[in-house]
Amino acid sequence: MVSFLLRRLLAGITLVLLVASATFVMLNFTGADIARNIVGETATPEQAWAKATELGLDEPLALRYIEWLGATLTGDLGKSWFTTVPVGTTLQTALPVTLSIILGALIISALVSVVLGSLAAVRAGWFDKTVQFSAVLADAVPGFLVALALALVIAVNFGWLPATGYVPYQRSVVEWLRSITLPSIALAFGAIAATTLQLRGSMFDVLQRDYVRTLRSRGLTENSIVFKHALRNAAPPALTVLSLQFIGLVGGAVIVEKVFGLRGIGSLATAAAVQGDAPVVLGVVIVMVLLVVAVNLVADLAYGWLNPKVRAE
Amino acid sequence: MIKKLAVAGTAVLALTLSACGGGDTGGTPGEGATGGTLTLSISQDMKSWDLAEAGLGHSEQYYQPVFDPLLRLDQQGEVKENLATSWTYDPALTTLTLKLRTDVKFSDGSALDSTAVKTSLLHAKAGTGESAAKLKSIDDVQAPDPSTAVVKLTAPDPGLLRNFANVPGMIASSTALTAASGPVGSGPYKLDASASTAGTEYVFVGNPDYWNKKDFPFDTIVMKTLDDPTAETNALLAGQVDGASITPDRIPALEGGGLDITKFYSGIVEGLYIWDRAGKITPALADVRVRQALNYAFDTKAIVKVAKKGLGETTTQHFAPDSEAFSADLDKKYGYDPAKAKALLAEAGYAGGFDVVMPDISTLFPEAQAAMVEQLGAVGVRVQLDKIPFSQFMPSLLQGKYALSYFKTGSTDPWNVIQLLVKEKATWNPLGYKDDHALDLVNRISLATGEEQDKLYKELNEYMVDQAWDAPWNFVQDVYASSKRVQVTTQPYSMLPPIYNFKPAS
Amino acid sequence: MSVPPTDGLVVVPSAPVRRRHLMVRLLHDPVAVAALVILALLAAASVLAPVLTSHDPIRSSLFDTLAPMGPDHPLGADGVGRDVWAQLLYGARTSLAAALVAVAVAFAVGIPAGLLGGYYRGKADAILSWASNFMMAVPAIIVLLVVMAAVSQSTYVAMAVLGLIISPSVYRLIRASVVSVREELYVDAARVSGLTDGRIMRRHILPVVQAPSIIQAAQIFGVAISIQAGLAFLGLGSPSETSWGAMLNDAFANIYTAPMLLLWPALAICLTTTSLALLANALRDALGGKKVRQKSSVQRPKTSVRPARGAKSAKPAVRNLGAELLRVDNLKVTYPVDGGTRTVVDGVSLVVERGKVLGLVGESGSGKSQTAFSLLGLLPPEAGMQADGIRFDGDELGGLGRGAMNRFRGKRIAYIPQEPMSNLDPSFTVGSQLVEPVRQHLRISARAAKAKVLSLLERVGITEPGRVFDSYPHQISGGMAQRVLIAGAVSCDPDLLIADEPTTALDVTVQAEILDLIRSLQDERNMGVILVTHDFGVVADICDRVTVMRSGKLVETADVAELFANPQADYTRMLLASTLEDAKPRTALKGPAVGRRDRTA
Repeated sequence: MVSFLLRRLLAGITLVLLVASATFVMLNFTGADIARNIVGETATPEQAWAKATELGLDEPLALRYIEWLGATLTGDLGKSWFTTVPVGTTLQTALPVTLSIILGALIISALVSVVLGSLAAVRAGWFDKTVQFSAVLADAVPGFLVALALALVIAVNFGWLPATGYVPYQRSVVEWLRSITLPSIALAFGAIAATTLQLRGSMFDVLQRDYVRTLRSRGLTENSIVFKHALRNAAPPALTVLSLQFIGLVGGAVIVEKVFGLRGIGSLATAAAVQGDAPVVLGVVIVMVLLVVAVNLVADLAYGWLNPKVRAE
Repeated sequence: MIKKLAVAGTAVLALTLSACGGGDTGGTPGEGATGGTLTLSISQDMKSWDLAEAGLGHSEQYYQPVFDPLLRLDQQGEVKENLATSWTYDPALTTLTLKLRTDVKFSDGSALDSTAVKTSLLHAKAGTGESAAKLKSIDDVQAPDPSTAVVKLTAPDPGLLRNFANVPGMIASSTALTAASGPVGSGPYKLDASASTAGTEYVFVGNPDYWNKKDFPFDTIVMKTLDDPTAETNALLAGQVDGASITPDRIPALEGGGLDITKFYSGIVEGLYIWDRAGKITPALADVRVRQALNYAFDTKAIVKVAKKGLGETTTQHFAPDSEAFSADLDKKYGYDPAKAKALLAEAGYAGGFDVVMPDISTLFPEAQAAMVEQLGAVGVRVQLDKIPFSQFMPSLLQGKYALSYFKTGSTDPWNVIQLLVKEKATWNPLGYKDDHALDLVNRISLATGEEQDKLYKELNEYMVDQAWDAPWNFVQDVYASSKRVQVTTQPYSMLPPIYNFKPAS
Repeated sequence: MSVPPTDGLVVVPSAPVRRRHLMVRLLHDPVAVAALVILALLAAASVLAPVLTSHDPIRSSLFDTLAPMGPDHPLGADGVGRDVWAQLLYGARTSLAAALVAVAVAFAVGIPAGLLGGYYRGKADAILSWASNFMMAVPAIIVLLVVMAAVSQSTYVAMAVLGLIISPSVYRLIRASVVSVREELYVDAARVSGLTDGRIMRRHILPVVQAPSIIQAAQIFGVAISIQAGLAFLGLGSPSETSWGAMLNDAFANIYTAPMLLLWPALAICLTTTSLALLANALRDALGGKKVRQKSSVQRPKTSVRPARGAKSAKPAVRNLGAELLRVDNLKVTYPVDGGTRTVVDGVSLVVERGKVLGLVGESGSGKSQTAFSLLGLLPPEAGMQADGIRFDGDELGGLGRGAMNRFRGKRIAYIPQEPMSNLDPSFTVGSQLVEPVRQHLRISARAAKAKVLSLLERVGITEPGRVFDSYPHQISGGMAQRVLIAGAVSCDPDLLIADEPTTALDVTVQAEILDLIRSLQDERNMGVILVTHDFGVVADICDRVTVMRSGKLVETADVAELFANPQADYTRMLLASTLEDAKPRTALKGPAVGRRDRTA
């Protein structure tokens, strides 16, 4: 177990470094003009040059890479080129926003897909068809349309929930929940579709297993058979799909955060990428890949926990 | 089925947009003649609390609660006292003596005296921010006694007083010049760091010791950074913010949503800017007839009506109607006349037109680019678009990569316009164009005052229009949307209404 | 087990035949046809753009800015005065072509990698799997953000990068298919006959991965279109390139003045992605056989029982000890097959007496298990069941719903399955699976139920009941599992026990013990038993009466001694003969269990 964790951790760190290194090289394509953007249009060329030197942009790529790598490995993500705020600080305020809506989306999609997927597998008929068709549609509709519609109808038109902004839970738990509800729903939309279909499929398979027939022969209630026995056995593959969805949710967060005016990792990434704020982009990439690695690890552990055979080994 | 769904979806969308009157419930700001919270949205984040790095334009509002400027503009744009109770220039216009209020303290308790002014101004001047650029004429600041600050200039700077009424005139405590642990000023509010989230929301609470509280009726001011126009519009419609600068296409939706719309000019001129008047990149542009032809080529009225949705005032000049240099007659100089444009081009030897390369700005200004390419093409000027990442737009222009391009910049203050565009080292003279006659006029303006100065401004303006330095289209009209909870008065020389122009609706 | 073969979850790789079937099946599915038509129309529209509009999609006209729909602009003009209809048509070219780029790159990378990894395995496979795991963890949109902001705003470049990021999904698919095909006999044969690896891949493996690849391609195509839209929404991408994304870009800028501008590209994108998703779905259905559709067309077994004829319709008020426990009249079980039904049990009637054992004998496929399942109401949902009567201890069972059936199942009628390992829920401990029905039926406390289960486990011959109680099914042996299942079956003291070949899956030594166990439990609890088996040795050992079945029909019913001594039907004789030939020593030695009959008589 420990060695499994260690191996996964090592692979994760390697992945983070590889992706971040590729990003580092790619960002270099933007060129040294970045210093001009940083100091602003009113600065003199000398000031721009001074800025470039200060940031080490005049050094060769290899040297800068080694310097960056060294700093990153010691946990120093540097400072934003544009605002000089330490990247770590920025991430600290942005991360809870994104995590909140992703967590919300995961919970919503898990709950909804369990209900819809199980019922579709059991009920069959028009209900199953409707669920399947809706899932295909929901998956096909671009995320921003869902987000925009939710913002306009629920927030702007009815005023039920805030249209923009994030309230930290430390300030008010109720307001925090209100602020993340719409973004989470918008984000969950596609994930619900995929997870529901997966769960429906694996539930369907499980319900045809011999042991389900034997459980039925014991006169167990349908609720126990579906939601206790079948669901427990159908959960691991659905969980894998959900963990794969996480990567998609990270991407979806970029769009949802824009619609709802949230300053999360996604909007931070967009703004930084457009500006060419390399330290921030790199910081975001590192954090995102770390998150994905962590979630996959958690999913693996949960998979083991749900599957006694894996657990025993 | 799918089609029906999509149509229904759009119908919902359209309905929602036209009927969003009901969204007045989500707001938190309080009401009342005084007190309550003022929540404003700003489309870009602030760069730094360090005044040396401070930005202008849309960033100005961020600094107004915490920092107090030396002077202030009244609603007609006249310079009035603020931290400084009086100001006098010497005859050479290079020494400005300011008398300071004696009862002002920074929020850290230290006194705002002439030494503090000196330290703060000299620190700010050394920076690279937009605001710092307005202080470049300062040579030194002296503090002969605590209530007297003497500003020494390297050359006369007719724009300095108005700039002192804005961010460049703001004074930070000497203990926190770089604002590493937050801004320390003497303004009407203090930043509540614990309630603020950098990049998202800044909360300012009233400064109980402020000397002029009557001008700032709100207990709390919240500034939200909303860089997405749709999110900003939704926030306005949902009553989450009381005021924001908006783009013209949002006016119908916001008016329908019960918000007040205020339109004003801030001196920005948009149009075709000709950077290469010397013809270094595109030789044709060295010929004044070619540049005049470009002026005749644009149907500016149609551009304003269609591409700018009617928001804007067509012009041929760079100096705003509010400014001393403006001359209404000049706007009649060029009209839309493609035939004349072609004739002028033929006269200059370009009967077959010529090719120009411009940066592709369709991401940033799609309408402007479309209009420009279309109308230039109609007179034979073939535009090739150079695809660059849009983050490279400004740098590539500043580096002088392009002979001409769509652009917009400007100021209501004529001296600022000269600083921006005319001087050999002006920011927006990227190819260093040098016109001796114009520069002579600039020099004489700086040494003159009063009516004589106004006359010289007008002369420079007329010369630039005659010489067709650029092909301006129109003064950009800015739009500010505000909730019924507040009253807003616009302010000449400002892109956003300063916070002292907001009052609670009674 | 004798559930009739539904046409397969397993993809049988006889490529050419199946492909034709696939196409035919697809064309029978209206959803798939609609999706194909829409996609074809979209492709045609993009190709025929110059015919369908005279407008130049990139030519903007200032005076047409936001022009409404009209004769000149069928769908109006956009925010910079470009014709929307023309943009939609020409935009389809860029959007579809760029999505194709993503698909092409994903497959260009994924297929060779998958073939390599799946066919040769070993080190190459390890490295490739490792790399693919890496790629899967990369958030695509962030990489695209960086690429588009820093490297190029071209949609094609972005889509090529997307293709690369998404290629692991193709790799995984191809690899999995190759690994499974590689184990097939005909591939071995091809290898033995000296075909080169290259030819084997081309001739035998590529055809097999074709169909799943089409599904995958449709999905990637859809993802690519969606991502294009997302990037446009983020304001990336190049608006001077005519594409649906660029149209969205313009529409977002004008969303409050001309929301209709959003409709057209959004509609085009939704249509494309939805059609692709539905097509992929239909393809999967066609590949996966009819299983899914059968499931959705029938909700529960179609059961109909005509009122039992004759005098026995009067319900005996008291349990009639020693008398008839179960009577089945004219039972018929059918399954739907292509274009009709197939009858697997046809007119079977039988009687079980309390305390007696009825053997249900026949070759596999004779319908004996189906008969057993129908008595328990355990037929799969698509099955249809009819009978003149199924009367259990005075109650009519035919036509009862699930809830009503549950009053009998587990409590009064119990079931022992054939294959012990697959009949225990792998996710729950043995104990919890046994406790649950006991608590439900007997309404006793958890503690009492546990005590009862532990004593039951001991009763069925498990030496460490405590350990087994806490074990998961995979931790115990097959014989032990069967004991557990028997314990489960008798836990609520049923009157009737239906055992479906309870010993076939077990070792010979264990078989005898299990049979002894069933016999002793039957004896001790005076249960009626239906023993489904194909083994006359078992019949001789334990049964009182025997019913012989063949192809769903009843062949003959008789007392055990009678049947062995004087079989009436030829088929019975044939069965008996073949049993005696390879008779197991145990049954041969013991012969008909006459003594037992004496005891119960």
